[in-house]
Amino acid sequence: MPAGVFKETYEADMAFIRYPIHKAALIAAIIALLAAPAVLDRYYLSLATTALIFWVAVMGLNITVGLAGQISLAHAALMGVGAYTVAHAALKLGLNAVLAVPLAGITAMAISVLLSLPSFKLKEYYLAMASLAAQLLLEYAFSRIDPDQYTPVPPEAKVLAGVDLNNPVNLYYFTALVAVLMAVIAANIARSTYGRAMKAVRDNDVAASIVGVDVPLTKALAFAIGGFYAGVAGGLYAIYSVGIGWEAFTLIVSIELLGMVLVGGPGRVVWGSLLGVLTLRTGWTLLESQLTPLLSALGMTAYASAFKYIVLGAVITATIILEPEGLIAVLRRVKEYFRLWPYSY
Amino acid sequence: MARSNALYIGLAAIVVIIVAAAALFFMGRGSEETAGEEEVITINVGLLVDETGPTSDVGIGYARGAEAAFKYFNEKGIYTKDGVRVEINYIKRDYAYNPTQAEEFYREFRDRYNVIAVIGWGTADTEKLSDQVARDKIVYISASYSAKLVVKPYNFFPAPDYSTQACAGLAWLREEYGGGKIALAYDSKVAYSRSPIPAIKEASKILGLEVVGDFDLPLRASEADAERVAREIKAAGADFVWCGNTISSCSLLARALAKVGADVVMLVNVWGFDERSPDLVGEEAYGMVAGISPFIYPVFASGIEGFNVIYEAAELAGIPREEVTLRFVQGFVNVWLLVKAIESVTSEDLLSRGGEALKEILESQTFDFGGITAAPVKFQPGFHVPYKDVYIVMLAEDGSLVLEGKYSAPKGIDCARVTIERG
Repeated sequence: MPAGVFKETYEADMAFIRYPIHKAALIAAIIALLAAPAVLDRYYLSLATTALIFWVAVMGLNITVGLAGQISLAHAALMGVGAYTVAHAALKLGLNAVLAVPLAGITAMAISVLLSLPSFKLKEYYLAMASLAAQLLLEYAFSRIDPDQYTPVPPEAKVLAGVDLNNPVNLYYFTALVAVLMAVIAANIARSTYGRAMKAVRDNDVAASIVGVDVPLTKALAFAIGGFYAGVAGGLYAIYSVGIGWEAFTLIVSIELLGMVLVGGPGRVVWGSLLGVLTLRTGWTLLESQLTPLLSALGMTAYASAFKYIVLGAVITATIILEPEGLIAVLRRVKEYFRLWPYSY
Repeated sequence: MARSNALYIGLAAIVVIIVAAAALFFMGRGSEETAGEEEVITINVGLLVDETGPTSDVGIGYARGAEAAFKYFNEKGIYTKDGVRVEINYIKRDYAYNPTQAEEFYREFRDRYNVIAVIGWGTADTEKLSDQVARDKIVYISASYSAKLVVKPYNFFPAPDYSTQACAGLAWLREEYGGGKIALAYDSKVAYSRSPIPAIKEASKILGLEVVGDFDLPLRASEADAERVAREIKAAGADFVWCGNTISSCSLLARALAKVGADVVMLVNVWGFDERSPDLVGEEAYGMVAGISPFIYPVFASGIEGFNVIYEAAELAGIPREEVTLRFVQGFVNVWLLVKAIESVTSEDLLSRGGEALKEILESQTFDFGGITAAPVKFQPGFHVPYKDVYIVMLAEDGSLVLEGKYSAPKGIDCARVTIERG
């Protein structure tokens, strides 16, 4: 009888569930996901819903940045493209918001492919500048099509086949379903031929091209997939919101999304992204609601907004310095400890 | 190894912070105070302010006034119609004029604190949330006086809407200076700035004023922006200028108009002109700027009974009398309106029907603020324009503020409805 888990085939090595701890974690995650509405009140359920939406967005960015190494500072704007697609499809075309979500993904994907064109010639800082320009252009476009600073998303457009997504529990389950589906797809992309090509381009594009990887196509694909994820996340965000406004998709949000990738684990598309969202978005929201009254009591209300960027900046910097692979690497060490327990040394 | 240790220490610190935050949260929940043996009802009210965003130039004063009012009325004692004491627990959030953030905070107010009322701020966020607050039956008293809000069942403000105010201002211009050309300077991307524009254009026709154009002045204007707009306005040959932004932006424009030698009179929306204007616009612009306000300025407070309450509250909060500004008054009166409504409901209604009961009271009574507002506040069900008068305050040649008097929108036009229909 083998003392441990041995992988004897390629399929076993590439399997989703490779160790008993994976099975246990998966069962626990499914139970937590399904039971959340029963144990969380409405406020925390809405936090969980936004976490799932941002998880989808960050997975997309993690594919572009973490997997393919193409820096993008326009991801929030691509989310905005998705959100505005859903809002306008519902408001002006009378389309159901749920049915418009795939359209949101496709629209954002098309724009993202356009944004990928500079990546054929540019790298690193220069590519970042190109994506920055795209972000600002899109931001400006949003502010022009949205002069009242918001576009309402009609509540009646959020009902499909008798399921009312204005109900927070229904919305949570719908978002969870989409997010899990997107996570499974993302996990498979990372393991696919294209995923490996992206990693090769990220690590050394010249070497990748020598071994036959179509570098421009791979880059375009990474941007396209990232854009699709951003568009879907934006579409979900539109369904979640009373109305969407261009202030939700600014450069600061793009930087925050990038921060989530870096903190969670660049290249660790599914779990790294989730950790990044839980730390920088959900974690901060919970912390902020306690810090604000505290700062008010100390007469420092005006510093509350600045405090956010001090704390988040410190967390991102600390992660990059102390653990460049992100929090997922720490989690992996913890997992390995328990997997090998009691012989973890 | 050292790196690994540092990492674990760092991570442990993060975990401790999150756990401490969660503990604080659970400890803070459900804390209700009692005052001796007196029965006390505690209600939660949200306070949404902009202290760090693009409208913080007026938002800080407003927030200060609102907070002073909460503290004062809690201290003094708020009693329902049947004599039960009410303590207001206000939850303040600075949303930095970001409507998306406002929606997040609104969810927190509603879902976490079960608020029955919100003292709100900007136009975009208040308009965005207006249908939702009606569904949630939460009374929303805003600092935005947008005309689009007057038909929303749960939205209130103790002032005429921006459109009615602007029309009254135009009536003053016409009376004081006769006809002429008017230029409209505002931020075309900002809902607040855009709000009264349809009504201004329509009222101008009736008053014999010719609109020479819309000029895009950013809410966060730089001197260069203001000078560009001033030159454009001068080139258009305007006699009058409407400025629809907040005080920083409008003051820069006044300064720039004087600098480029434009011979104009500038009329400024309520959030664009106050006691600071003489310093901000500079001496060269003295005599050419006037502001609209539905509230009497504290500098003209002598003999106004309502100011005794405000000064008492300021004293209680440790705020010197000279720091009681128009913005402070605006924040204070919004809370005061809520308190007056609470004082008119029964404790049973307040507890069982919350915002719904307050709405009924607000729509059925007349509220007098001792002469602070240009007229007593009386909301009609379905159309919440409480009165139609405003004060006009002129910045005189010597730099002093002069109360020109009380003015109303011209007859023959319902400015609020024009904006609702065409905005």
